[in-house]
Amino acid sequence: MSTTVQTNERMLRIAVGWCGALLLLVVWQLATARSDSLFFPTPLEIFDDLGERWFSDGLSGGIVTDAFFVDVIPSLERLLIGLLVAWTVGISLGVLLGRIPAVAHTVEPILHFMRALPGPVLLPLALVLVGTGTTMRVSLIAFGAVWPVLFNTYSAVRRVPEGYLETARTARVSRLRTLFQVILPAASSGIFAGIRVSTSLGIILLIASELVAASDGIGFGLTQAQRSFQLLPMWSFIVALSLLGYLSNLVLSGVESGVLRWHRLQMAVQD
Amino acid sequence: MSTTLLEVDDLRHTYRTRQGDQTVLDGINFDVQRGEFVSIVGPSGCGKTTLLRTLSGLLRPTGGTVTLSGNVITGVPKGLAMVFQDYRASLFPWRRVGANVEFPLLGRVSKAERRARTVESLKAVGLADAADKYAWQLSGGMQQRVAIARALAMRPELLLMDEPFASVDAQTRSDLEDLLLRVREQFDMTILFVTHDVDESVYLSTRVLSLSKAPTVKTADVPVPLAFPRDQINTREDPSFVETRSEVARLIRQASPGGLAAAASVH
Repeated sequence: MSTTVQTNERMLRIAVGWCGALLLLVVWQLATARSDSLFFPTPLEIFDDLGERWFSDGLSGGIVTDAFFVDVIPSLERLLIGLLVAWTVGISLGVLLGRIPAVAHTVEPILHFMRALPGPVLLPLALVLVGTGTTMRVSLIAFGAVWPVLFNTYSAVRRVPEGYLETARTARVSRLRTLFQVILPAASSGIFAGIRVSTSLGIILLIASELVAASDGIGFGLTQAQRSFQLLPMWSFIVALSLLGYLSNLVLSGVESGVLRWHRLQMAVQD
Repeated sequence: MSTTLLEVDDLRHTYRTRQGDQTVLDGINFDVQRGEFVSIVGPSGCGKTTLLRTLSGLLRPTGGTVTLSGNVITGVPKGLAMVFQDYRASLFPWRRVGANVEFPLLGRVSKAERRARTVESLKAVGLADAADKYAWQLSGGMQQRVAIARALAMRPELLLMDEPFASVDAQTRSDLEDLLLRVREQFDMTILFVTHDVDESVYLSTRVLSLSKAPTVKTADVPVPLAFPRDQINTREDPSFVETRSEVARLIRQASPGGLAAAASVH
């Protein structure tokens, strides 16, 4: 019974949220339709342009246009590879730090020092070191996005209850099995929090990296449009970016609520 | 034909702290025969937990030896299972009850055998229907029964229990005590049971060991002359229960000189 009440409440909250968004769109539309400013096209025009630009090839053409493969796909590729590297390195290093105090003591100060560097600052250095190719952009994303995953994993692993570990030890479970079936599940909610933060950081770094020496991608398209005074496409790129952020968050939430179902339910029970 | 399962020989442990060395176990000796139910009681802070941790191989003692089935323990030995006091920190919240019980068997016995043992163990603790629930959906007493089922699934020769019933209410506690005696019979286990409750130690055991305050030594080794099966009402009325209970209580009081009880008894 209580679950249906919760479901109803949730539906209501979602409905209210969408109404708010819709209202904002209407206000935006009305305000821009009245003004003659060239800098602010109406949202309808923007979405029209966005659809025309990237999704107008029809069903037979596979819907997405050739421009989509120049403007959007390269960015998605860079973001995905960069984040995967960041997550892999961050989780591995975080577990190492959390499990071996000696490693933590030696490496932690250096890591805090490195973390203090804002990612975009390294752009000039990355340009010189790895050139202007995809590697440069991917490594910039990976470097900037690794920190929240690393530090969240580190602290979550350190806080795994001693009882879980002793249970595994008295059951004579191997170290590998303990890592994958005790430590990582116990730390998973903390790790996921880090993954979410790292994803939004990754998007920022993606765009920053595409502002210099790029020939494709959302960031490149955005600056090109702005420099050639094509304001409508510029807005399309901005909206595409916010859509990218929104969709990536949606995907992560989906995965998270699947993996951490037990955690959500447990929290609900204990409230 | 009793044979020795566990031998504890001059067991010592000293923790090194910033305030200097702190000796917790100061030469403890005892044996446990196969089939016995031995309880260990003592005043709080007597190093009971340290003792259990060394017996289970979780902690390496600074002196003396522990021998299980003729082998000196250097790490966590085979044939041993442990039930902790805090079931919340020992059952995994992301695994369902059945998966928790099965956990120690992973990679060790076949899937069919794992399933069979899980079902059998859960049935033995009366939780056959709870296999697909999460542990945190159950009451405290039921969670501790899951922890017991997990220990049973390991088919241990020696079951170590660290104040397992200390965090449940009185009624649940006596239910759990009787459940433990039943499964002991069914699974033919030797049990070493740590508790601070004198009544409980006498009710459950075939023998009670009492420990002194730290630095801890064994102060008494009291056999319990009560037959099985035991009964929460009749056994506790039995004159030899009352007598043994008093004897153990007296030994514990003597073991903690300067305590409140001792101060009150000085005229």
